[in-house]
Amino acid sequence: MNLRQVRIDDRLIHGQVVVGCCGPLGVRRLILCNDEVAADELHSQIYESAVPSEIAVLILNLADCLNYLQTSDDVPAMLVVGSPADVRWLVDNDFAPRQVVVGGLHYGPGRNVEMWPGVFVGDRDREDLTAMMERGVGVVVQAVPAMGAIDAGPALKDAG
Amino acid sequence: MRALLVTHGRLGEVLVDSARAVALEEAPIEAMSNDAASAAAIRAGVEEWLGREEGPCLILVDVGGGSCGTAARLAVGDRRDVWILGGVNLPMVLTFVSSYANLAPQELVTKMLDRALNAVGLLGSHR
Repeated sequence: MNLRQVRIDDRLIHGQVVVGCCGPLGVRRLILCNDEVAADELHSQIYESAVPSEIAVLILNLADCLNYLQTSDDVPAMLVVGSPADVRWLVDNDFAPRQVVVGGLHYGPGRNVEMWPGVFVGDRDREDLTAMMERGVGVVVQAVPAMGAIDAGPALKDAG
Repeated sequence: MRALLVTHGRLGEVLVDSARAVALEEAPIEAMSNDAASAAAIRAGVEEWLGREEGPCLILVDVGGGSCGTAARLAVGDRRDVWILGGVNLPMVLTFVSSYANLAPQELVTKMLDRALNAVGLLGSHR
């Protein structure tokens, strides 16, 4: 797989992903990995329509995504998941990204500790992010590639 | 007929304030920002607004494919009395404020889109 970025973003596909990431990273295939969206046709159509036609969109549930990630697709791609738990599941099942980018985690129920300005985590998020780091996956916080990336490890520790 | 602007940052709030200042009209229009909100929170905000009253209404978003547009479409679902318009600009909002009380929903939507589209273009150039 020619994965240019693995991104955690609870908004899934939105402007920051399409404009701020796909363009600068040269992405030609956007893979949205989310069980809920993949199971809902309307939901899927709405997300597909948010992406310009020059970028192919693939919406897969976790299991199908895991299979797809094991194929040898050379198209520059970006993987978007909605939570640390989803990407951890992939990692626990032998997906081995070099780096995972925490692009957008917003305040909400069970997600109320600010680890970086505008980026919130809950206990489950901490556990999942920490588990991935312990498996050797680099985890950084970065809204878009044009902005600097910070190491999520110290940020999680500082967040108490 | 009422309307909700769902936009990035303070764009919606400023558009509503500006339209009211220009038209000198109090219209049933509100703004909601996606600032610091998850997709679920934006959608819940739109659903809450939709549920406040029955009857036809409009949702105006800035970027159709952004978090605001996506949340609006998911919140509306298969309701046929809600119109979602993308690319909101001041002429679109002004048209709502000045015409919402006098036009049927479909006519109002057509007029808002006409005014919004006609306002976009090159007004001059330096050659």
